[in-house]
Amino acid sequence: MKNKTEMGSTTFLIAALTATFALSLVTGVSGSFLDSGTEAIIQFRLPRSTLALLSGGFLGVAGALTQNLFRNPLASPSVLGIEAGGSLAVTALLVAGLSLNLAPIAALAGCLLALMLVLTFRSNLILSGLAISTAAGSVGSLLLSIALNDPGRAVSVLQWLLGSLSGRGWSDLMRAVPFAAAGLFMSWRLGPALDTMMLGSQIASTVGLDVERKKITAVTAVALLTAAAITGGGLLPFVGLVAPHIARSIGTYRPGSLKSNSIAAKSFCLGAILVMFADLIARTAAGARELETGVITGVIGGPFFLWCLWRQQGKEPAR
Amino acid sequence: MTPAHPLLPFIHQASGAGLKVTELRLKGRGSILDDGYSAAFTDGKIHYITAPNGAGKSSLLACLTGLLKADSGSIEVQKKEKEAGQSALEKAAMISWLPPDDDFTLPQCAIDVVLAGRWRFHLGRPTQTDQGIAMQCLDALGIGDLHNKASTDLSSGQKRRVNLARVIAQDAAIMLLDEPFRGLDATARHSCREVLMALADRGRTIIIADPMPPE
Repeated sequence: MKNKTEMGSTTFLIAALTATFALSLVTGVSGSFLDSGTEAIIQFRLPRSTLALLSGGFLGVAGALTQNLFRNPLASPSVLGIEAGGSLAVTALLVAGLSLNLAPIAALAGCLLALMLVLTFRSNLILSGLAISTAAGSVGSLLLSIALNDPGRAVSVLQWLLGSLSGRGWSDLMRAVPFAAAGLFMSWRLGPALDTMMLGSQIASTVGLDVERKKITAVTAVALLTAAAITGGGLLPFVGLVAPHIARSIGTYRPGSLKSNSIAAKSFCLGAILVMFADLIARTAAGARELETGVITGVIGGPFFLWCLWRQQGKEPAR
Repeated sequence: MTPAHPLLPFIHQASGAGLKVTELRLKGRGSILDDGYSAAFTDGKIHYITAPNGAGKSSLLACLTGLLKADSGSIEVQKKEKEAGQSALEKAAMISWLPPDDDFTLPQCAIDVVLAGRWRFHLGRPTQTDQGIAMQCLDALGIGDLHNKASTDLSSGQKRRVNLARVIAQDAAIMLLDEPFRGLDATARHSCREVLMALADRGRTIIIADPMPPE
């Protein structure tokens, strides 16, 4: 039961998404559209903007799913160390000298492992996420220092790690898309069950839901989407946190606006817009020298996360 | 046969299921379960379990729903031993549960919370009928106007009633309610009690855990 206004906010977001995509295509270091010509657009900006759109979208949906799964509005693939786990797995793959074609599978394994760890220590969710990110980061550095013995290999690892969206193309996208498609489908099918699981596993099980099975599906979908985002766009911290947060504040009080699937659709659009904007800044802000897109989302997302914490503190009674 | 309730026409007369508890024990969960709890709850009645805070009322109800596993003792539903092999849906038709706390961490429309109670009927695809029934439940408890409000923005008494509406929408034979009137004002308390009495009249077994004896 969707009414006009609820459709209105989704339509608005899709329009904003299209506009951002168009802006991302025509804007470059050289300035305007006319200077750069169609070749630059088709060869460089089209794949890059598409990657930014899709990896942002995947992370937005993964973030919405993660928050529902853990029933915590501060959860997201980056905060819980799921992105770090996936990235570590790809680093290990490259250090071992294996083909980049295996990247999505490695990323999926890494994300799943990180999720298992978070689920094990879920009573202190955010702290266990911190521990996982830090540990994964350290192991990653260790692997990198081992790889330094072989300069060629080290460069390829560094390129992947620091690259975010630069130097990626259609091949990276093609590797990521099947995983993401599976993740999106699972997430969409899971929507109504998530609406019930939002009330907690105990209530969900008493109303007749097979909670354990649904949880396994949700965990798999989060891992698939995060792995796809990492393979496509590298590490983009906080996108999965910011997108669902804003999505929940758009069009509330309208029937269906807070349902999981509606939040997921809006999170896709918002995550995509956020990453495309971040990429636009990364490409143009420092002139010819490119910045990392992940750094920009981190710079935007970090203060946003703190703001969320501050707001949550305000809601709790003073101690 | 009791006629349909004017506010809850979807609740039909049913030959209800009773609940028989024998020597139920669970260590370390308060005096009720330490001593071994035995009781028979007949259908068509509201039963009160009145005991002071910390006596183990909530744990007892959690045992009866199957969320907590007792060390020993038996729980019989409808004179039939409650089996572990029952599917989640079969259980949901037998027993509904109102938890002691209303833990809404993520915002959700009040009507969607109530629709979650209808899961065993709609399996994720609520029909117009389910929507209508969810509205009836909210209306019966006097909070129909809040149906599109986010659960996290409700007052504690409103949250309590939204959660109770969800339990009523489930339409199970046995309703286990953990302090259903907490945080409610006198008017709301009265209307909730009326609705529960109407449900009992139509064959439901209602078990209420409350530190205060019924008025």
